Amino acid sequence: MLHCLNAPGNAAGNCTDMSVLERQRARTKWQEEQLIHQPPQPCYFEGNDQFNNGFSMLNQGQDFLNLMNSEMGHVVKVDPGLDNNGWQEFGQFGGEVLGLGSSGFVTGSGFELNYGISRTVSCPEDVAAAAAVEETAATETTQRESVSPEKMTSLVGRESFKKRKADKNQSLKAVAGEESREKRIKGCNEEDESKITEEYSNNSKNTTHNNNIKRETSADTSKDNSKVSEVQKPDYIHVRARRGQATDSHSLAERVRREKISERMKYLQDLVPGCNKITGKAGMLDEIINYVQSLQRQVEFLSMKLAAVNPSLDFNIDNFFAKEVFPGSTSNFPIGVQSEITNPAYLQFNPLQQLASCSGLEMGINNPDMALRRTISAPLSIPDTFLDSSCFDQIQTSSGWDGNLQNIYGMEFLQGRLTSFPGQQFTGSNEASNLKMEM
Amino acid sequence: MTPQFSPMNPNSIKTRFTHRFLRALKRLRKNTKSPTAASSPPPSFSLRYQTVKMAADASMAAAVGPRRVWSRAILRKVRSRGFSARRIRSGRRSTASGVVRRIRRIKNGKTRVEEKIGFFGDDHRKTEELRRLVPGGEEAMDLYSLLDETAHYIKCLSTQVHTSGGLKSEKRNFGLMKKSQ
Repeated sequence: MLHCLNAPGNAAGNCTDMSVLERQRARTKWQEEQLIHQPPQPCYFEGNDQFNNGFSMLNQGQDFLNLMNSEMGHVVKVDPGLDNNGWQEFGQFGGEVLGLGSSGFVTGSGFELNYGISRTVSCPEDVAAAAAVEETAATETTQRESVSPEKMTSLVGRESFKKRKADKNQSLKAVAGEESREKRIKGCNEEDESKITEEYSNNSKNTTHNNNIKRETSADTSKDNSKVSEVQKPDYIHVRARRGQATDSHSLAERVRREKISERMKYLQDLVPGCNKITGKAGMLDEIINYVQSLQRQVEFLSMKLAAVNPSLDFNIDNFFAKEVFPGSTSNFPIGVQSEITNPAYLQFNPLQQLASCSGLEMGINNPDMALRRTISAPLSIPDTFLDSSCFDQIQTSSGWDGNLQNIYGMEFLQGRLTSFPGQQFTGSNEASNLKMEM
Repeated sequence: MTPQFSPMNPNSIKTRFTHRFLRALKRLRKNTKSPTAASSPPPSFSLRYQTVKMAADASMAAAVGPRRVWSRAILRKVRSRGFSARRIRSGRRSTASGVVRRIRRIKNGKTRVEEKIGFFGDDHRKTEELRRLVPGGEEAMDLYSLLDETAHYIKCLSTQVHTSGGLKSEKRNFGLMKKSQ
């Protein structure tokens, strides 16, 4: 039966050269029809229970079962209207093949695929009907069995493809029986499974090239299965096995690793300036290396500068802590943002530091007052209160403070501080962070 | 003596780094001013530079804490350098062997990494270069964590540059002020 069915299929495949456009049109038409016929028939679901259970072993999850049900309803719906729906099935299959074939397959085998499609599409109706009959005759168990061997062989490897085909032709049933058992034992890593399913569907298209109608039906059902698993896939899988890619756990892990690396690369791309235009890992790494090197050199340079300036600072060791408040932010602000408030604010600021550093002196009288002021204004909203308090303090300090300072530190020190500190410092202290620091 | 200013965000790396760095610099200065150091000739520029650099590194790493590989590596390096310096004063033999052992360990780690990562040619060479740049990158770690560390390291380095740049300008102001007086 198979052979006589094969003959017209081959002939049709060889003779009719359907253009891609025609195929596309046909595919859309079939899909429309299927959309019309879409509502599932619940009476067929009981028959599929076994199948569903078998698959729920592979892929857990209620939503998946629901999806599966709808899909199965569609599949089983084939048998009532044999001629029409069977044709639909094949149409869908062809469509799927087209879609998958366009999604980045190797061109070398793309020809094979197209050939297979054209043959399938141009298959006469009675062949399709026979195929549908075949399909229904092969019940759910056979469907599952016919699914499993290909899975296993796809696990085994692509190299043994020819051998596998021969194997299938000889004893599909026996292998199927064995391997379905094996599959059940394997229990299934979910991730691997669905990937393998996809891979397997690709393989099954190759086997359709083998002119086996039976294979076509199994491919058809597997098409649905793989479609379902594709729908479910995005939940937990990011890496897909495309055609020609290995599906063993090592290469899957490798793919996951590469994905993570590229994600990290993207992050670094944002971090490193001027790295946006560069594509390719080598260029990116180059840029990153350059940037890190330049940063390290900058740090070296800066610490060199610090070391150079260091000895001249012996005098101001106590002011060092005063400096501690702003150094981080001064770099953010350009010099020369001097305003009216600069001097008062700075006046206030410096004495505070001095107070803190030499609190044992007589101007400790002012200390509690200022501290009080600070504590009062602390919980309020920052910038305004700071300015206010600074003005207040300035008024207060300008009276008694200056004199004290002059007495204790000498005029030159104060002057030096007052004159030599640019607005930069105030702008530094104007920043919110430093405001709070000061509070 | 110690001002009671609570910083804006005490948990931000920038603040922590600034505090630590300033404290380290102050300590350095104190050491130079202390009577023991005063008796000895003032340290050369290169030595001062190295100590400042080490202080910057160490304070950065300490600000980050031990949760990053690179900061851990820097801390380890600083600590071992301190140890070795102490040991050099007492006796040199042990340090030399220790250094050799450490280098050997690093080399071993590197070869293991090279085996692990299946990078070829250009990419591989560049990865190795990056490994050499990022502290702690020569430990056994895969490319993903290396890039992770690199990203964090870059962030911290730019913070460091920012901060010590500001510090430098402060100091220059001070220096100018002193000269003008």
